[in-house]
This record gives sequence, C-alpha cells and structure tokens, in this order.
Amino acid sequence: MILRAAAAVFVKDLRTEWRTRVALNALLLFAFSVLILVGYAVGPTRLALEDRPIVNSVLLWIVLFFSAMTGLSRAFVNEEETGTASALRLSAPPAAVFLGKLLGNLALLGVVMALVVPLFLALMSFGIAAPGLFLAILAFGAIGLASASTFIAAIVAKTAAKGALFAVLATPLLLPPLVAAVTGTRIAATEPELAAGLDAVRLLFAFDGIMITASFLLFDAVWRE
Amino acid sequence: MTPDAPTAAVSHGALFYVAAVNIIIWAGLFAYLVHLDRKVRSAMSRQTPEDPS
Amino acid sequence: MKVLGSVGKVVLGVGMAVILWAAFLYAHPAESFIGESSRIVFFHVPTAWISALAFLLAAWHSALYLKTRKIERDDAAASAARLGVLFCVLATVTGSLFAKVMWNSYWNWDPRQTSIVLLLLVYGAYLGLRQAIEEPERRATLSAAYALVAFATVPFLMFAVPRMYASLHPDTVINARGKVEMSPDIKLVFFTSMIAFTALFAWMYALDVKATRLVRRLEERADGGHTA
Repeated sequence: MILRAAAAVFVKDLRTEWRTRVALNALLLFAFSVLILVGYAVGPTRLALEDRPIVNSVLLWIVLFFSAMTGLSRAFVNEEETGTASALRLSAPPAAVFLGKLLGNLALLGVVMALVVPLFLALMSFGIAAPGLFLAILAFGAIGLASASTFIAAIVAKTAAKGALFAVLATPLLLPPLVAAVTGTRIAATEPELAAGLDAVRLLFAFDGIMITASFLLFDAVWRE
Repeated sequence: MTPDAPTAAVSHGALFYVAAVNIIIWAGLFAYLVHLDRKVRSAMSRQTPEDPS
Repeated sequence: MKVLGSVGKVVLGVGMAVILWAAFLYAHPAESFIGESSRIVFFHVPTAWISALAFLLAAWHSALYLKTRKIERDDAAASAARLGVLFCVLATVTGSLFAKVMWNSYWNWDPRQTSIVLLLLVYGAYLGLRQAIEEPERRATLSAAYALVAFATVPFLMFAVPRMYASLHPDTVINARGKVEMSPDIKLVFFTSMIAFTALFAWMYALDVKATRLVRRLEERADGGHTA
C-alpha cells in the first residue's frame, strides 16, 4: 500500500521532472562546470604522486556534495510553490510521500554520479585499486546525501528563506558521512583489498540507517505543518 | 616537553593557561548574561510604545 | 520553575569561590599532565558535560513538543540549545587551550575536537533555523524535527568516531577500565566542581526559559494588538 503510493509519487515526480528537466539540468550543468574548473586548474599531473589519492577523493566528493546542494532542495519547494502540496497531503500517506521523494532524489543523484564519476576519474587520471569498495562507498554516500537532503528539503520548503537555509541545515548533518566517504574513497584508490575500507563503509551504512529511520519518524510532523 | 626542561618554568606557563581557561569561562557566562538582559529589555521596549494605542 | 532558593544561590556563589580556590591551591597537579595543566580539568570537563546535558535536554523537550504540541516545550528546547551552544563554545576554547599546553598546538583535528566542532555547527544551524521562521507553531515543529534528526545522527558520531580513531584526549572521567583514576584531593575538587557547574546551569536554564517565555508572550500580545 505504502510502497505502491510511494511508487506513484516517484513516477509522478519523474514525469514532471522529465517535462522540464529543471533539476537535472541544474545539477548536471553545475557538476560539469565544477568538473571543468577542477580538471583545468588541478589536472591529472599537477599533484605530487603521494597527494593524488586524498586530494582527488576530496575533490570528487566536493563536486558531488555541491551538486546535491544545488539540485536536491527542489523536492518539496516545487510542491509548496505550485500549491500541489495540499493535494499530495490528501492523496498519499506521509511515509509514501517521503519514500517517493527520497527515491526521486536518489535517482537524480544516481544519474549525475553515473555521468560525473567516470568523467572525473578520466579527467584526473584517478585510478581505483578496489572498484568494489569504491562502488559501495559511492552507493552508501549517495543514499546518505539523498536522505539527508530530502528531509532537510521538507523542512526548508515550509520556511520563507528556502535556498539559503538548505545548505546551512544540511551541511553539518552531512559532514560526518562526507568525511567517511572521502576516507573510504582514498582507501579504495590505494588499497586493493576490500577489508581496508570496511570501517568507512560501516560508518556510512550506520549514518544512512539512522538518517532514514529518523526521517521516517519525523517526516509526519514536518509534512503536516 | 623535553625531560630535562626546568619544571618551574613549565608549571608557570601552564598556570597561565589555567587562568586563561577561567577567564574565558567566566567571560562567556557574563556575555550570556548581557545577551539575556538585552533580549528581555528589547522585548519590553517593543511592547511599551504599543500599550497606549 | 524555581530551581535554587535564595539560600541555594548564596551557597552556590560561595561554593564557586571555594572551588576556584581549591582548584588552584588545594588540589595537587596530576601526574602525566604537563606542569599545572591538570587544573584545567576542573573547568573544562564541567563545560563539556553541561553542553552534552543541554543538548540532551533540547532533544527531550523537542520530542515532547512534537508529542504534546505545548509551546512551552519549544521555549524549553530553544533555551537548552542556546545554553548548549554557549557551553559548547566554552568547552571548545578551553579544550583548545589544554591542547596547546599538552600537545603544543591549539588545534590538531583530534577526533574530539572534530566532533565538538560538528556539534557547534549543528546547533548553530538549529538556532539559524529558528531565526528564519516567524510563526511560533511552525517554528516549534520544524526546529523540533531538525533537532531530533540532528540529535540522532551527530551524537552517534560523537560517541562512535572518537572511539574508532586514536585520540590524544585523556581518558574520560570514568576510563575504559571502568574506574575513576584520580587522587582523592583531585577527585573531591573535580566532583564538587561538576555539581556546582550543574547547579549554575540549572539556574541559568530556568532563567533563560522564563525569559524566552516572557519574550514570546510579549510578542504574541504585540501581534494581537496589530490585528485587533
């Protein structure tokens, strides 16, 4: 029941997004601009060999983080601005709305990552020693970014400041998973065995779990406000 | 930090930091008092002119 | 809400003075600390403890606000968060002075330092959110939701991360072996100081809640005057 409603919300959002592609275009344009800036200014060879893993990991997550900050706040702002929020409130249970929006943001971020990450690796000649670990870090990192962004977007949509407030509220929550993601990416770049980065994966997984559980419990109050 | 450093000089330096810690804590609490005072005062002053009207 | 009677306030004032005297002149410096720096513990640890207590209170009152929808709970949560930030700043700065004495650098991204800065950012954001919303009920609901999500994610890191990475920070009061390893004189001053600072916080908190409530009522009356 909730899953079906969530799927309906997800599909509805995909359709509206596909019609205008505002969020996707904003995300991709932003990500590519930063990518070009980083690729041009830093490039693959300008860094000392031993600095490359950590600097490239930080740069990759900075690109992804700021892309998330520009694009993912739209999830609820649109609904409140066009006045469709109250219709949605009546037609779907809150948990379904949250799940649908979360999946939408995750899909958006997934598309961006699928294009940006390979490009980043190519532009910076950033080699990955443990692709499995790297993919796990990317996946759990994306879930963390998307879940925190979705919940904060729901809060921000109810305030007057919206965009300015979004980054202020989301950044402190996202710093811990981002630090773990950067650490994990650095390990994935240098250590071939999977076990080395397990701590980072575990931390990301714990963050994702707590964030999603807390969001589901609290979304009701925010959504009905 | 070296083992043969004169301990008297080290303790003196450390005492300076203990004093600094105290000054910071009490200054912080004082700043909070000022903030609270200002908050109550501004709320009261915003209130009073509207009362006669 | 009366926390300390007038006698209590006098006792607290005299007690604080005695603690200050004892911290400098009665307790002996602890071993394995450089010089007299162990005396910082009498002041730094209570501020850190109180900021943790205050954030716990903020989360508690936020949860109760969402449950009961009584705006007084929101006043209490806001006051607790504000005082939590104050004591968190004090703990950060005094901790950084301690780091300067012990490790000869004010800031070295020790896990403890990192996590306390995260706490500051989170509750700073909480206070920012409160300032951005005019309407009291909406402000109460949204900030309570944010406070609870923040409380669920960040303290987890407060407790998980410092244990995952090697920290230079001395053992917490009760160390890994489950014992309080302090000499008796230090122990006496330390726990008296913890109690006194907690009492001081209780007083400040009661005062702040009262002031917040007062300010909100005055604003409500002013708004009522406009619409009438």
